[in-house]
Amino acid sequence: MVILELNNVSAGYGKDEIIHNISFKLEKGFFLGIIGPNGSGKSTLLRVVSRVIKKYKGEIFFYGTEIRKISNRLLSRKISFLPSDIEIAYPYTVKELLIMARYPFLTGLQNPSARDLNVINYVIHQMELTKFLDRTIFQMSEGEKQRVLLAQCLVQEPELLMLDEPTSHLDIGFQFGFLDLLKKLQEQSSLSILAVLHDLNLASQYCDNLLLLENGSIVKFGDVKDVIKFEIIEKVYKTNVLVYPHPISKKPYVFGVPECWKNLT
Amino acid sequence: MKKKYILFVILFTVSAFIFGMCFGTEFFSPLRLIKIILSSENQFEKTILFKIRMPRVWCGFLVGSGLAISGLILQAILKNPLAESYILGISGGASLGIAIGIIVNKILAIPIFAFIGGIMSIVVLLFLSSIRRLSPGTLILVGIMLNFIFSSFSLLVVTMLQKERFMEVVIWFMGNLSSYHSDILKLAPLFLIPCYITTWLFWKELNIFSLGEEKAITLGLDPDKKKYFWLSISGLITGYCVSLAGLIGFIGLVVPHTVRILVGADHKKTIPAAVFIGGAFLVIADTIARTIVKPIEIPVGVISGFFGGIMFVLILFKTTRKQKW
Repeated sequence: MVILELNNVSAGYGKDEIIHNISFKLEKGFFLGIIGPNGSGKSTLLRVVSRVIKKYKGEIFFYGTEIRKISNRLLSRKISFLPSDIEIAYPYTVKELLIMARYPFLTGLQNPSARDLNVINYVIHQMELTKFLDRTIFQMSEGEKQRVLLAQCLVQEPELLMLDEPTSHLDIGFQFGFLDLLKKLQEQSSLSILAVLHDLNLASQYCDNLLLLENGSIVKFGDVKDVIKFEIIEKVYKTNVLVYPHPISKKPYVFGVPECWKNLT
Repeated sequence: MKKKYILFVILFTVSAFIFGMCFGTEFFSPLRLIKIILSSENQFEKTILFKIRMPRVWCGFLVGSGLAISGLILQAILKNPLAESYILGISGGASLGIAIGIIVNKILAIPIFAFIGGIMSIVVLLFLSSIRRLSPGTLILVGIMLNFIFSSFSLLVVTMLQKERFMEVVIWFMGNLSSYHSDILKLAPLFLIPCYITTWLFWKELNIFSLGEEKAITLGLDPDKKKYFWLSISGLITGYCVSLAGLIGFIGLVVPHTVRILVGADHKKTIPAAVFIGGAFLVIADTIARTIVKPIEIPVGVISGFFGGIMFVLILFKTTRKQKW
């Protein structure tokens, strides 16, 4: 089943069009990574699908319905979004942040019901946040914070989870920890994931499909092995690379080549 | 844990009221207060208490709580811990409205003029931020400049007044709880308290707003639509407070910040706490202002500006370390 389909989508900020004629399909339960050089429109693409950017040309279908026809509230019960570099300006506790994410399920002045609290408790358990509950977000490390923000997205019980460079400020331990968690969620609860990833190798190891963007247009969309090829990566990123299979996963792995070593080979 | 804070807030408010009633040109001890209230004699002291001190304390409480709540709202919807109606120029806009109101001599219409003035500066602020995305720091700078522009306009308007009234208005511009109009004070609770209740009923929205535009939209709240509602509430409250007490700066900054340290950031708790702490804070500041250099009364805006300015710099240093400006 196709959960998300984009058909000739173009959008941008004001008069500047940043992404042009983007079309792709995301199957339910798949992990699609968006890669591309800086300024290629990766974040803009997520911002259009999450409706942060409201004006776009073309069509976006969620389970076959154009999203302009679905209310914001209804969509936010199905799609959640973790923006990049999110700064929480005030010292909310973890518990408060999680309760907030039930907002789309509460009408008017309603308080969280027993079911809402059940969902929250389930996520707390799943994400191992029990001991952090009363801590404020200011007292947490970057890695812990990112996990709380992911938990906040999961409290929305999403079917589609969108993430914008979720691992960019994390060290290698937290990077793998975070993506392992995503992979587990994908496999256990058939969550569909659409993520902008800066690191080609992380994208290659974790994603099912990749979408490579350059200057706002799709260069290549398909299986990881068809996208991460040295001739494609060299052309788009304008640098010399080697691509070898990862010794364990057998997925393609990109090696950059420093200028000073090039003459030796 | 939770009960401790409620108790603290109540005690703080009650002691601020007693403090404000005791001090003045003549000091009444709390025991004497009770005696004066209970006995049928001492008409002179009764007049001082009920006709002079009590309305002033009540006025201070309402203005303090109003400025605190409007600051809290602005900080949530702009996601900026330094936002406040004085700093953003909303008070300045309101003061221009009032200056015009004084010129045309319609005293009871003054809150309406103030509201229009406040909304005017919000519109300018929104317009500027729609042309170009303003960083939190730039927004504050624009606000401060708006405040200057509106203040010079209102001074221009005021210089057209006769001499005696000119001084009166200038003192009131400094932020002063002695020159309120009694009819405006009588109507204040009818107007301000519903605003506070509305704000508290929708505490969840303020929480969501404060997470930023991207999170708000994907949590099903349209910030572009809702922000006009909240800016109007904030403008209404500010307009009313300015028409009571003139330009008192930084209450909306100091109080929400203190409240967050006490009860956390959740707006379910910060809104009621800010009403009481904000009110009590201004009552105390005003009592100090009118008694510290007897027999002169310092405008309370001078006191709040002094401490508020220091606090502004402290918060600025703390936030710039974490956020990109």
